[in-house]
Order: sequence, then C-alpha cells, then structure tokens
Amino acid sequence: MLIVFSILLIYVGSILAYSPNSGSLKDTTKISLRQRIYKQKGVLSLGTLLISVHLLAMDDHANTIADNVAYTFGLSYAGVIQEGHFYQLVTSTFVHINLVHLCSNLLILALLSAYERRVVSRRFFLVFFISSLVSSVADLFCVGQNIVSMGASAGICGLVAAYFIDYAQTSWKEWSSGVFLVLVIILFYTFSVGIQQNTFNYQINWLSHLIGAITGAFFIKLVPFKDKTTNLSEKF
Amino acid sequence: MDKVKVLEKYGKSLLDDEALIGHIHATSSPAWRYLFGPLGMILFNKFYVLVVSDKKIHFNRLNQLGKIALTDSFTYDEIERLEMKKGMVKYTLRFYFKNGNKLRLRAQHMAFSEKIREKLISSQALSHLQEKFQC
Repeated sequence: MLIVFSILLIYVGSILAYSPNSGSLKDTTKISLRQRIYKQKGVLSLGTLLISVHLLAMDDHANTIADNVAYTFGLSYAGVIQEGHFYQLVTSTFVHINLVHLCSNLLILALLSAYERRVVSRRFFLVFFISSLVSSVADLFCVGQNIVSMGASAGICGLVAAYFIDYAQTSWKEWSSGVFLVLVIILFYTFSVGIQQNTFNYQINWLSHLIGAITGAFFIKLVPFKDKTTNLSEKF
Repeated sequence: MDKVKVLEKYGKSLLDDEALIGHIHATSSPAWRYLFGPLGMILFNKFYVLVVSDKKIHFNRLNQLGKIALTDSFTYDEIERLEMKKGMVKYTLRFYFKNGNKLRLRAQHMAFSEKIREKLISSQALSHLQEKFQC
C-alpha cells in the first residue's frame, strides 16, 4: 500500500513540478501552479483514478490484482457475451495486473500531458475513452475466449496517436505518415517489453494497442481539431 | 536546399526588405530525455529551422508533422550573445536573449554528402552568425 501511495505522490508531484515554458522565446511569463493544475486536469485525474482503482483492487499480500477482481472487472468473452457483464467493456480500462503494468501506463500518461496542454481536456478524455471502448469491443472477438484482458494501454495508445497527428488542417498525406510513425513506435514499444514477458508473467495484447492507436487516429481525422488560440502562451 | 526552397517553406516571416542568408535545421532537447524511453526522446525533442537574414534571425518551431507551429523573430540587437561549439557530428549553439530566455540548439553538420549537408545547414548562415557574434 505504501508503494502505491508513493507512486501517487511521485506521479502528481512530477506533473505539477514540471513547468514547461510557453514555447515562445519572446514570452518570459512563468506558469502558475493553478494554471498547471487547470491545464493538466485530465492527466492528473485519470492517473489518480488508475492508481486509486489499483489500490482498491490489489491483493493484500502482493502488488498484483486480486483474482476475483480480475475476473469480475477484467474483459473476457465469457463475462461479456455469455454472462452479460457489459460493464466490463468500461471497467477493464481502469484495472491493471500489477505495479509494473500500472507504472508503465502512468509514465506514458504523464508524458502525454504535453498533448493535453495543446488541446482542451475534453478532447483528451474523448480520445482516451473512444479508443479504449472500441479496442475493448474488438478484443472480445479477436482475443481468445479464455483470456482476461485489462489495462488503460489502448486508450493511451490512442492518445499517443493523437499527440503526433492532432493538428489543425492536417492533410491526408500528413495524417497517413503520422499514423505510420505512431504504429512503428507502438510496435517497437510493445515488442521490446514483450521480450521480457516471462519476467512480468503476463502477455501483452499488442492487437489492442494497435486498435487503440488506429481508433485514436481515425477519431481525430473525423473530428478535426480547431485551434482557436493564436497565442501559444495560452496553451503553454 | 537552395534559397528559393527555403523562402518557400520557411520564409513567410521574412519582411520585404530582408535578404535571406541561409538556414539551419536544429533540435533542442534536454539531456535527461533518455530516462523516459523512446517516446520520451521523441516528445521532448523540439525541432527548429533557423532562417538567418541580414537583419534578423527567425526561429521557426516545427510541430511533429514538420509544419511551422510558431515563429519568433529576433533582431541581432535583441540577442545578447551566442556561443557556438563544433562537435564531431553536431554544432552546439547557445543563444542568450536580452529578455532573459536561453535556447540550446544542436545542429548536425556531418552528412554522407555535401548535398545533404547543405539541406541541413548552410555554411553562409553559420559564417554570418560567427561573424556577427564573434564566436
């Protein structure tokens, strides 16, 4: 439990401590703590939620998730299709197998605060939830029936895709080259960690990562970003 | 890259009475970015194209798709000093602005051919900066 609290402190502290400049070399104003909280509320609340859920879901004696929680809230074909537990499509996003799984997702989520600062928090949440949901639905039919799937990775991969491509007035050529770059990065990440899967004692659902990224990419193409702020210091 | 292409791609901020001297492709990134893995390395990298004219230096910041996201133009008077070091592969350029801001850039000068090198960094721009700031 102490480890999880330390993770929460490090996560929130590092996001708030990092003070990015506005990007403009002419701008000399400092970003206040209040502004930092406001502009990064998506990353802060989502990360805190993931850590809190893990704290409630983990086994008493280990840092892994309790078996009954994994089968109840993790996504499985048997749970959703045969038993009708449709809530698993949503809940599976917020539970993680162990601390390594949670921390790897939190690290990338913290890095993606750069994306939230660029766009509004509402768009950040939309990309995350739509990518997670679509990949959960696809998981049901693509992954084996006896496998339980969980984690926020699919939504995070959607956010990674959005970070690289979500700009105002993006042409199809730029969009497709961005998608290619994102897929290469995600596959590199997935397989570089996948090599060590015996150490982590779980398998990486690379298909879910890819579907999440592709969903995020298509979402931002279908709902293009309208950059209303001309002054970059407003976005910092 | 010849001057016409530089003007076409990055020269929108140039005024009519400015004469283009050259350009420098450079990146600005903190040394601790390696701690965060490959994604961190990409996320913390900021890409710049410096367009050097006879009156100003235009710092064009590029987004991840290579488009200009922001341009900051500084006259030579607005820059306090410039430190330039030549490494094996890259130049390190440290700009100290009079408004208190600093910018550390790394510009690659090593390339397989002279043609590629000229695309990355123009020797006229470099020598102009060296002459202006005596570094």
